[in-house]
Amino acid sequence: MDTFLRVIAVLIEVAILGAVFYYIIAGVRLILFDLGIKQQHDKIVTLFLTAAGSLLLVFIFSHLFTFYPEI
Amino acid sequence: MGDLFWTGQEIYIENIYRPVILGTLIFFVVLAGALAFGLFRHYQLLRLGTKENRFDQIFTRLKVTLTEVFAHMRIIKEPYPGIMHLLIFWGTALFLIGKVIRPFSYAVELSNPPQAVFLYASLISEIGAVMIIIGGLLAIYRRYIAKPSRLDTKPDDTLIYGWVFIILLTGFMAKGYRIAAGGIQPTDWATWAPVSYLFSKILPTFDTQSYNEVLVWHRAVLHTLPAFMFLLYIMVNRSRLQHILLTPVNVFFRSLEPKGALVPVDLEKAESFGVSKIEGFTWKQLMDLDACTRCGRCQDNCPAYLSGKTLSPKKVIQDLKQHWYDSGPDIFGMFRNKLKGKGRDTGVSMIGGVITQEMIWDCTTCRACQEACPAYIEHINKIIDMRRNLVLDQAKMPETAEMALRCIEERGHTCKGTTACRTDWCGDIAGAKLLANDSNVEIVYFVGCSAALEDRNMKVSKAFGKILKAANVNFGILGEEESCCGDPARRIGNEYLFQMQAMKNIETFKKYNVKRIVVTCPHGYNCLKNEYPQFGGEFEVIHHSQYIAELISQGRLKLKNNLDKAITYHDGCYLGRHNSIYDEPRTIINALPGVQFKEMARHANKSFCCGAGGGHMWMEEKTGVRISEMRTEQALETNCNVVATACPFCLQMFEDAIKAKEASEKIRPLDIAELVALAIADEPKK
Repeated sequence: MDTFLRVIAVLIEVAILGAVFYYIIAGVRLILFDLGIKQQHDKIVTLFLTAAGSLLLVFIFSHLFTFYPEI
Repeated sequence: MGDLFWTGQEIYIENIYRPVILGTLIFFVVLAGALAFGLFRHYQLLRLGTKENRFDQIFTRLKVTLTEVFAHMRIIKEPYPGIMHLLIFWGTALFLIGKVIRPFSYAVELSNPPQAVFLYASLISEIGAVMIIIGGLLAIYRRYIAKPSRLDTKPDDTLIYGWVFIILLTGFMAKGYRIAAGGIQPTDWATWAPVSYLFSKILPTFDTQSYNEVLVWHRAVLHTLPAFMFLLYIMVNRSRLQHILLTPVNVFFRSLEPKGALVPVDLEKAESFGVSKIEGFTWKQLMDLDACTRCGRCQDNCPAYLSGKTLSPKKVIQDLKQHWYDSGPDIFGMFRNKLKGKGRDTGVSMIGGVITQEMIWDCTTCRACQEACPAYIEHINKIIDMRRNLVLDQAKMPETAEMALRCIEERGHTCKGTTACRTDWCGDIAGAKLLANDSNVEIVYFVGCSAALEDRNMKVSKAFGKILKAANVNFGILGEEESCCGDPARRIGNEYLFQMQAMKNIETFKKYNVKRIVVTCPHGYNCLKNEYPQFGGEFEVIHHSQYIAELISQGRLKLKNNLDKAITYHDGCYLGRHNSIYDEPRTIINALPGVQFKEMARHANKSFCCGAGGGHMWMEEKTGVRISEMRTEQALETNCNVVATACPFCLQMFEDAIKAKEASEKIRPLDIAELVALAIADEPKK
């Protein structure tokens, strides 16, 4: 039961941290376009930022599973 | 109290929050740089505009700005969005006050500022956060569930709700972990950090102190990082969130000139007329574009938009804003300083491309948009500037408007086809003196084109003449020496013709040493009172509603006949919103014997235009519903049998709309002067 609760807690944490990075990356994307990057580059910019965000999330996910209190 | 609050916390504060605060201070330097960059960007864009002095009466400007910012005087007029914004604003203010005080209080050994300050700071930042969440939920409900048509949702709007929520959530979690990891649960955490205390109850911690330190570190960083990125986003990205900085500045620089006065053109110096390119606007007109938050209040109050025309004041501002941003220097160009007063060529013309001619001509200049705008954006002067360019530089205008202008040029009035002369209305009124014969009068009645020459409105001038006679007022008229006040010409965009008319009338007034003038037309009243002083015509100008109210209060008029009428009153735009005359017409109506007065749903400064302002008296309404018919429907909803007005244009519009709606049996439009004349008549008519 404790292991199950721990998994749930980690998943909630991952969701929150995922949201943190999503908003930061989405904000950076909007800043880049406002600074003058043309809409035609939207796809490449979005791909790059999504890849960076995903890498961060994978790191956080693995980190949380190894370093998280027992419940 | 304080000891308990800190118990078990020192290790986290010393080892974690002190470094975080130091890191934060370094980040503040980055933020200051971002703010400077953001402001410089706007400054460079504003430099595209022409000069305008808005630096007078600094204390008056400051007073209204502070009132608007802290008390939300305009925003609160719409309760739901008003309370929503108030919660978010004050929530953010409390949150930030708490945040700023807290980091520094422990670092200075708990007592300087006193420890109690820390406790209160902790509490108010939590209260602030809860207020932001409640306000945010109200906003989310409104934007995504209620979906009022005036709101358009862009990716930025959705992003900020989630972003702010995440910042607050991670903030509660950071403090919650600190409380939980402290091991001791002092009772006063619940008092000074109630929400975080609840979080601490569900957050798991380690048994090992060093692990808990790492855990709290994570939380602190994961709260600080999105918070600072959010601040960075506000400062750099030209999103609606920049209204936090830009809207108060725009309120500060609002016009302090009379509301109904348009800015004159120096005809001798002008190389071109009006504005055809974005850089033709003044810096303040451009600042208006920056201050717009897309709240849509202007659109919700615009009679043109609501009657199905192409004009939306919100769209005009937003489209001009995008065009301005596109015309401004790019990110590298803005440091090269080569675009002063000259925009980039976007390949799209402002008039015709960005803003269609139809939009420009749809505006009735009723001022409902400006009265509703919480950012004090001035829509009318931009539209009139574009009209000036169309009329004077391009000779493009609606055919009927052109005919009205030609009529003024040739005959000095707007009433095409009339056979009347300017003194016909006063034929049977003894006491109306021509100034040419005797200029020793108490007051001069400037009759105006409609009341002097147009059949329906001649009844109003006759009624007013009888009132003046009954009150033994020694009044004079200009007769054939009177000429059109120039309002139609100015609102249509022919500044040249307006100035000619203004100078002509001013000269006549001066010839007879006129001091006091009464006017039955609010458009003439506005012109004479607010615009003639721009050309040296300083007179005491009174509207007939004010003058009649004055005569009644002085006991010079005896209202003796029982009228037995249910009356509603329509506030003409140029009397109400442009000149703030709301009380006097109502005072008169309420003084009439046997009258039951009832307001329309839209009244006073929320009144709905009759559709005749801004030169529309002489323009065809080709698109959508007739504005006058919409207003007539609103009058019919009151079940009154008289719709009273104090404006000849409104009166004529009601006459036509009531006929078109076949409602002549139900309701009748009357000027307040006609009502008073009925009440004082020796032989009352029904």
